[in-house]
Amino acid sequence: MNLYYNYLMQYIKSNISVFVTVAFLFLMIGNCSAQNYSSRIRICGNSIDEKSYTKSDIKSIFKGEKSRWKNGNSVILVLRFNEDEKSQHLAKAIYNKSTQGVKKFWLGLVFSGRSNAPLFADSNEEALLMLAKHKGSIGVFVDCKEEIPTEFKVSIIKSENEKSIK
Amino acid sequence: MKFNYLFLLTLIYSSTGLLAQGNFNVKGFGSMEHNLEYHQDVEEFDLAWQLGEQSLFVTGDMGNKFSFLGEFSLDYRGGDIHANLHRARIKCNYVGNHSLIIGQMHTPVNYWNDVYYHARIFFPTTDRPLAFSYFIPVHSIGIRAQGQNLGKLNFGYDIQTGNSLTGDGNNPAVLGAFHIKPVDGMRIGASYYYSYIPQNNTMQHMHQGSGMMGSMYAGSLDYQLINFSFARFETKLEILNEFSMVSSRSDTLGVAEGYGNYLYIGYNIKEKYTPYILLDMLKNENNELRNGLVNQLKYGVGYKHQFNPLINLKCQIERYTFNPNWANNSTSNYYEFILQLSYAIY
Repeated sequence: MNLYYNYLMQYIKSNISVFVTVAFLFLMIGNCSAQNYSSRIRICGNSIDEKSYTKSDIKSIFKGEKSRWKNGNSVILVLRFNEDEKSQHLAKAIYNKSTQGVKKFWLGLVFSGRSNAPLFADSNEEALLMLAKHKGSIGVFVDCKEEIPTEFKVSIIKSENEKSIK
Repeated sequence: MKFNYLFLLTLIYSSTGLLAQGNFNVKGFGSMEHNLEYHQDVEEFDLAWQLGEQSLFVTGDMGNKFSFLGEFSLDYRGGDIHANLHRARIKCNYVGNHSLIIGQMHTPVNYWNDVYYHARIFFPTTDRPLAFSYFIPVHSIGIRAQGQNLGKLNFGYDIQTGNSLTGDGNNPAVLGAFHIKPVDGMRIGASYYYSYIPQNNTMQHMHQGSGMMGSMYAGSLDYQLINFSFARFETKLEILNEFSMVSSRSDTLGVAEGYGNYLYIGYNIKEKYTPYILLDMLKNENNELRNGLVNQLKYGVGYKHQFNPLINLKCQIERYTFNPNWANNSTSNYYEFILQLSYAIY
């Protein structure tokens, strides 16, 4: 039996590589851009590899793309996150999403089993406590007024090829 | 009504999760829907309220390198409660972004099976692609080497071996899958799966409908499956295309092929409102002895309303053309309206 879409199936079969290539090139356009950071953002880490990271490194780490530090510690993300303006700023600066979008992003990633969920804190104080408790943890803060121990401070450096890195 | 031990496990997992400290946590997923079907041939309407799968999902750390992930569900069909264990796996993240996984898992043959699993809240449309009913080995029991987010293109690989498609451990199935994520929200992947089936039967790690010829043909089969996936989400325009090609060889009828292609295109309006279209088709040759003759075509339009990341409502109207089964090559048509509420308990 041949239904009328039989020809269509054969067409897709013979041209699938062309479709994929064209779609890939088309959707790549306009997607490589640097993240907007501000002086409001501060990064802290407990027993992580480096004391300075580029913006693209930070973004990659906080999107769950790194599982383990070179020193052997598991990467544990700490986010001070709720529905306030600071969280909106964090969501935009790090994830380029709304706060709802960030929640959905993590829900999907954890469910797929490809990453562990971050530790969410309601305040900077709570986030700093979590950071101190877990070796390998890294946190992002917005408008942090609390005193941060020297050993936790991480600086964000510029990279020459920032724009070419996702 | 029939209960089994998995239901008790559900209760145990739930109570443990409530009391647990640290990184052990429990999440829930579920759906409920209302269907309205209009069968053109007999000019009749069918109406039904349905309770979808209700899943529990547990994760937990076991020290610095090991973690556990489990998922099981309950659903109500034909007057009985059915419990299914979907995933129970232990992962060892031995270095960097490289891991070994052992246990029962979802076979990462394509984007859908690797990312969405049973949680309909993530589904872009109300149903899985048609290929899941016939071609896709949804679950596997075995061992997998996994790497992810490697290099600038975020390259990922999954190399896996496990029981065959029919659950036979003496003839292990093998899988090689890779993908890249060149920009945020985009994933392009391909996979190859091979399983030698010494005795064809209806036992399988798939959903209902697959292995239909098991009662007619009990001989051996070489089963090969190739998939290409293209996914683009997290932008205004969302696209998901899943292409599957199956080839099976039997001593009696030789090589037979089947194809399936699922296409979803959606457009996000302010994150909450997503109108979409879908086109899903599947064709399997008459001499294919795993599933037999299959011709199915489904196309439609839909709308997803996301109240928040934890709950959404999908409305979908589709036209479905199919031959009922391998023994009946006449075609039927019907229209279906689906209203589906899906949710996550986080």
